[in-house]
Amino acid sequence: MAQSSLQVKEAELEAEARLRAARRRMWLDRLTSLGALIAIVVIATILIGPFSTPRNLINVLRQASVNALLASGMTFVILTGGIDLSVGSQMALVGVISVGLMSEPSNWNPWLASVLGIVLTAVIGAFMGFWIIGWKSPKLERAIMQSRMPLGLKSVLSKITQKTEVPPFIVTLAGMLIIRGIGLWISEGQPRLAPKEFGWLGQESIGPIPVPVIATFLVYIICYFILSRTKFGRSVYAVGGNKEVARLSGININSVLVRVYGLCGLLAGLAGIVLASRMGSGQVNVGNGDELNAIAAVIIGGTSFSGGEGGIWGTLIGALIIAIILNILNLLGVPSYGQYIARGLVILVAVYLDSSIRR
Amino acid sequence: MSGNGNDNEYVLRMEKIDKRFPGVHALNQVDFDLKRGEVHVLLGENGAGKSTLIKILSGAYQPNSGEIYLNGNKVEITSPHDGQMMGISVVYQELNLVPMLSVAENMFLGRYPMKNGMVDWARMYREAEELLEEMNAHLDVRLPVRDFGVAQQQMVEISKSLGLNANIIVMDEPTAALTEREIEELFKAIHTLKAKGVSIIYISHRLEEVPIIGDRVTVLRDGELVGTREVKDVTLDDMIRMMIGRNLTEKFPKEHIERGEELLRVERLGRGKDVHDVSFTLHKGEILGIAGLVGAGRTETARLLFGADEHDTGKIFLEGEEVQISKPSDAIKLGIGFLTEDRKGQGLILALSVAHNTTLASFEALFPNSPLLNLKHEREQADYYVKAMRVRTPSLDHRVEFLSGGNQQKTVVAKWLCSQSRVLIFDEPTRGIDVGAKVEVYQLMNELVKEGAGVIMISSEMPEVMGMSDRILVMHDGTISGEIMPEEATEEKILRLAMGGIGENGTE
Repeated sequence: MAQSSLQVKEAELEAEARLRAARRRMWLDRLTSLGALIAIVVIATILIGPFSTPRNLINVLRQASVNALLASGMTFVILTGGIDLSVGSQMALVGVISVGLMSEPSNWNPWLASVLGIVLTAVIGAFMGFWIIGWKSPKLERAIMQSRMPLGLKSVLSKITQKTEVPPFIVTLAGMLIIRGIGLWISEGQPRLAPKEFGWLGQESIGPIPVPVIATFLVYIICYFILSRTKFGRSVYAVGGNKEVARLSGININSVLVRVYGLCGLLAGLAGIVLASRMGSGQVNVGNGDELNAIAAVIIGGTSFSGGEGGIWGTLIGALIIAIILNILNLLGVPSYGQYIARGLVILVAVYLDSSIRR
Repeated sequence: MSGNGNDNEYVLRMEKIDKRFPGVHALNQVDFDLKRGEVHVLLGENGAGKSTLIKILSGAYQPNSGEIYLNGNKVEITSPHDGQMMGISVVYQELNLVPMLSVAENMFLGRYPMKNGMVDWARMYREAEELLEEMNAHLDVRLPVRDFGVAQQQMVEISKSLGLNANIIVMDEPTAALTEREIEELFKAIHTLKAKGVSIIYISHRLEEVPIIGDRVTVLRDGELVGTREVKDVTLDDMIRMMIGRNLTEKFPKEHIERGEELLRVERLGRGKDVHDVSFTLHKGEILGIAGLVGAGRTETARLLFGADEHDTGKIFLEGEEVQISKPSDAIKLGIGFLTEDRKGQGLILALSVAHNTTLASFEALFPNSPLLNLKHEREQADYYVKAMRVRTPSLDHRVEFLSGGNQQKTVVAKWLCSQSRVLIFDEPTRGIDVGAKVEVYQLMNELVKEGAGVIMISSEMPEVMGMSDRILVMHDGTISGEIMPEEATEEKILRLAMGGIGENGTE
């Protein structure tokens, strides 16, 4: 008891200090990533001639769109305090399956095939969500207990069938490998050529703006709406902020988590379709390591890795920063090893700045 | 007191200690001293300044002003490590042991005996055993600490202090989690320590322990020294008066409201070993106090009522109709709210705003049958309840993390009113909030029952239970051991029931 009154005073002391920091931070929070984006653009415009040509800028946006789509779903996952390492593999799987269905010999309608692929990844995502929250089947449990197995086996089986949670990192790591394997199996490693009309989504433009850029922007508006105006969105923040409080407030955290991983899968599927459309083919070797780019975009955008804090627009800025830096490095002719190093540094510096300002 | 020559007798003198935190004057010119080989009891309510004083003594805090003398020499204690070096050890309520490490390793943590650059295990085990034996404790020092109970872990901590050559040991509520027999063992250990010339500062809320174990007693209230007395010169009533400082009615603004019809009835509720055969009723307009010792099953019962845990036996009736509660959302739908003891861990999402915390449990109540939030309506509701609860916050968008303990508690109340709760379960409602805010929380309870709600108040603070309840239930060992009306309640009667009726007829 004496301890808790002490904690109160400590908390008040801390709160006072942080109150001041909080006001400052509210601005800086929004400004760091946006400020960094603007600074990079300005510097690049001044120093590198070809950067600011309309053609290059539109190209950057087009390149950013696939990662931005992946990162939008990742934002939900990270807001709950989780992670999804499987999105790169999911993207590849969708390309292989959907393009496979729309090309010879099936010749499905390309958009129907796309929707089917996206639904499939949503289901895969939700399935991983069930592993994360833990499976529970009272029926199976009862069946085991009533069966005539030896007692030892029974107790082992009943232990296994008890609800057991597996950390998101592990579930999605397994998912990443399994999904990649299934993609290879189905495609036999061969790329499938997509019909011409499928290219519209990835290659065409409406006016000067590429279709994938418009699609990405629409997705972000929808995500913003979900996060700020729906019970589900608010629950995402609550679950990430404190699972126990969320549960005691009547929020069904299991349902929220399954839906979040399902949504992340869905958006990874959409990213896969856009990518396949841009390349005009479905290839199983795409998306390797793209999950890390998506995570980087979310983190650079200021979403807390431990969940509960952040937002979708920060992620968009994060994705743009990554795309622009890659573009600049390309324009400067930096070889790929340099690009890896630069990307690593950007993530490190971004999170360092973010954390130091938050203090 | 300074300058008098009898420094031999006093191992410690703290003079005019002053400590301020933003908004709180935690200690106001407090004097405290400690004689060689005495047990000096430090009394005071939550927020009285006991912990702050101890933290200053141990080196965890620096005072804004004041002086500390050890054996007559002025010292500055700049860190807990510093304090340890000077022979000051604190045995906290939450013991500072590493559960996975062995008893011996814990006792020599950070100063393992070495031989030829390697840990000298044989010597460490031997010395650990010797230290424990000095305290008449016989434990296998090779086993990990987590294999032992709280009482034994406490012995490990005390022996560890001896190993550090502590001559001042602070014990922070050492009996809070112990059984009667373990308390006796602890008291024996304290006598052993005294005989060795070790001085003990003993913090406790259990007044009845003071005459048994203490030599002198010092009472703090609201950061000020009320007085230091010889234990043999004071009665329990004296100590209560010194601690509370005013009479009970001022502190507990209880209003008596006509008891309405039955709101909630619980029949033979139970779960595993924690709770069994709990039956009671709660009426509209009633504050039902639940007293008992830590571990008596009070919080566990509340969790069953709220669906935080599922009950495996018993029935719950709301306004005469049986209801099924197996998860929190069931209870919330029925109008039950649960203000947990741990506000930060279980009541509020610190990173969310005041407004969003207020409506957190009310999505279904505010926006039934829709997946959407109407932000304008949500804000109006949050505003209404935040104002009604007089939460002092710069704005609705302010993060709840930055509010004071009292205002956080009021935000939690706002949250459960927003969800249209008719039954409110308060678990330790005033723990860790300052005296002024406590009165406000009591007034809120009054208003709630006036509006026809029913309040269940779980509390370990006897004056609170006696001062605010319309009826008092006492729990012991997972079930209700008695019911008392506040007019006839005394601390002694409640305590007797809380211990399962020990002493009443001489049997346990």
